[in-house]
Amino acid sequence: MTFSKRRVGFSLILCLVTCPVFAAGGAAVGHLTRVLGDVLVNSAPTKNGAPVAMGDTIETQGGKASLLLGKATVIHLDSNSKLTVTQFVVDTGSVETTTLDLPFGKTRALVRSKGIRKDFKIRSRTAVMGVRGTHVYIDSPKDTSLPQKFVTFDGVADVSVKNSIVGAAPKQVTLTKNEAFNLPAATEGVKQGDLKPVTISEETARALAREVAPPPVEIRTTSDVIKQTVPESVTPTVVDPNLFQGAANGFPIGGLPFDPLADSLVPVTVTVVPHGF
Amino acid sequence: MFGLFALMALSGTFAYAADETDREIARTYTIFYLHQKDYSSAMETLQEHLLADPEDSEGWNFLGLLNLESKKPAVAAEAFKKAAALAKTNLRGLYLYNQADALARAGDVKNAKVALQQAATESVVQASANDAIGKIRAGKPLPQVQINNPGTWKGSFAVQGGYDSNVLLFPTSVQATSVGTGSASPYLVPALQAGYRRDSGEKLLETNAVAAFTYMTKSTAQAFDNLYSSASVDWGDSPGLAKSVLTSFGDEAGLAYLNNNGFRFYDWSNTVRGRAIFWRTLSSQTELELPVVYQKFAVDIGDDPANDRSGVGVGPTLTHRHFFGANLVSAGFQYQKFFAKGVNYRANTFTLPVTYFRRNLLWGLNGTAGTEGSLINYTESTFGRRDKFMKFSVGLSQHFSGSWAMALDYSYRKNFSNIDAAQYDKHMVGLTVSYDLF
Repeated sequence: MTFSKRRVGFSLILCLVTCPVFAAGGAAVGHLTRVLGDVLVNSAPTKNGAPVAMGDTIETQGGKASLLLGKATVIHLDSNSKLTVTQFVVDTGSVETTTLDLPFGKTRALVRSKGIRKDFKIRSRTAVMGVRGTHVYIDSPKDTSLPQKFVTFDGVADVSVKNSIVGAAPKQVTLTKNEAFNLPAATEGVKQGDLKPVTISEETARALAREVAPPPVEIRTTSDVIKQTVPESVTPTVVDPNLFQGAANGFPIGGLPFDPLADSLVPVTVTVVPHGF
Repeated sequence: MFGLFALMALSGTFAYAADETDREIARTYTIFYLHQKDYSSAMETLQEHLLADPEDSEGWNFLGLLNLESKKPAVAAEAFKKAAALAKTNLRGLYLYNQADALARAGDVKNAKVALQQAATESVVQASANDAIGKIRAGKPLPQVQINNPGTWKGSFAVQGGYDSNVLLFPTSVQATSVGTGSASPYLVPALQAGYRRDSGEKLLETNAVAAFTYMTKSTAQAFDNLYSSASVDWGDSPGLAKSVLTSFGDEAGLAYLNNNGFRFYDWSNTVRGRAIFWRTLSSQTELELPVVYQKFAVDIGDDPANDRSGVGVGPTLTHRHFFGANLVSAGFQYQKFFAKGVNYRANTFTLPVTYFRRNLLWGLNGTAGTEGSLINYTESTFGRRDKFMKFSVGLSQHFSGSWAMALDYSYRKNFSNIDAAQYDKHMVGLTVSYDLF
């Protein structure tokens, strides 16, 4: 059987139209939610509920956003993060393959442990985090001279470090619940012996998770449900209060006016230790 | 000594549950569909989740609420019943109230009353349940439930040890002499703090109390050993509210008392304050605070009335906070006007404070640095006094797993004045260790 060049070209165009899952700007593989502040998809401003297709790049700049991918994966992006949905394929209902590229930024990803089998990877600039389930965190600063941090809050994840960093030595670190791993910057010459996970406290894990995005609000009463259906236009964009929880509380207000004697006597400032910030 | 109180923080401890990740995913998707007003997808998501995780009582309650919104009260009542049966917390009372609401809407007044009576045994909704029992009407919803959030108590004990280069605030000219060296002393401060916080989601109530004793180890400085205590209460909008302006009001009282080496003194103050937080964006917020202070200083017989610092002051303060990554920068402007009884202490003060905070600066330590400069004009001083005050401070703090925390602080302050006796400087360095008692 032979095909003319015109037929081949037509078939390619037809494929791009009918198989959009493989093309940027194609069918939606997910949606954005909790969009706060300046967030771009493929360099254009976006909003809550906007569809995201394979090949799309989300850049949060000064904002934040969460990506709902498929039916059971949540990717929270902190501000100043960039993420590309490189691959999202559901193979005839048996395996869901996801590859996300995170050139820089901070993300918290939740992958449902039950249901369809998942092959889920996030690639940072020098490592790949393969999630076997279910809740992970990556901090990959834009400044490449700074180290990257990988954490597993729940489940198990493998971090594979690119060979350019570790040479011929073994290059994989497995992180289980509340284990973290700091990957030094490429210029620092990492040795395999440095690739050891450390255990972090539950409190620290919670603080890291909340820093990217706190869990969704509790829905416990009928009025809670109604609040969620309020049109977005009347809901102001607000500071996430958790970001400031425990931060410095204003200025001293006692000791008026300044005076040597009062200055020695009255410890007027009660400043809360930054915690969960 | 500020670091001492800085460490005595209120903090919460949580624990990840085994199925928490899947539950968070289910809630996130369901809320997303609610935003889209897609009730069927929302319910489908929850039903699928509950098939895999039938022990999720919050999930059953959420499903009941969705059915209630979809005008299926009988189905909703069954979901609430499961939620109440599975609940391991005091939220059981709320689920029972929701069940009663659904049953009333479905016309089953008898069972609605039973559910309300059970709900009334749980403090979280006791008042609402008792109130609703007399208001059940077949086919009608119950009044909106008011959740009585029990709030949390926190208490801690801390000890700070350090060195103060000029406890007595001797003028710079005296410090250079052998007399001035007697002003420096190591010190030790044990302190207790307790606080209560209740956030209903709409309103936030916070109270705090501190008691500390400062002990100077050098005898020449022991005249300044003092007992300091304070109590405060603040009430206002919950920080989680999606409002463009958050307001709150508070009151704080403080007492410093000395009675040592023949030197008796006290300073009592009370501050009433109103706060408004506005221009809230993702990474910044601006706060206007309006404090009114009353201060009472002890005056002994023979003291010059012109030097009585008791009186009333106001100090409007505008603060802008900007958050980027692990950094927080806070800068502002404060104007203080003080109406002292004694003419020598009536003053106008302009202050520019700047603070920088960095989480995880190094080896898991949090770092902070601050500076402030003030111009103080003692408007009616018989000496024509004019001061310039500046302060620099740096600190490191660390929360360890469990209940321990530690901080190291250093500060330097210097007062310039056209009155020689008011020119002074001092260095302070302190190491604080604190332990959360409850």
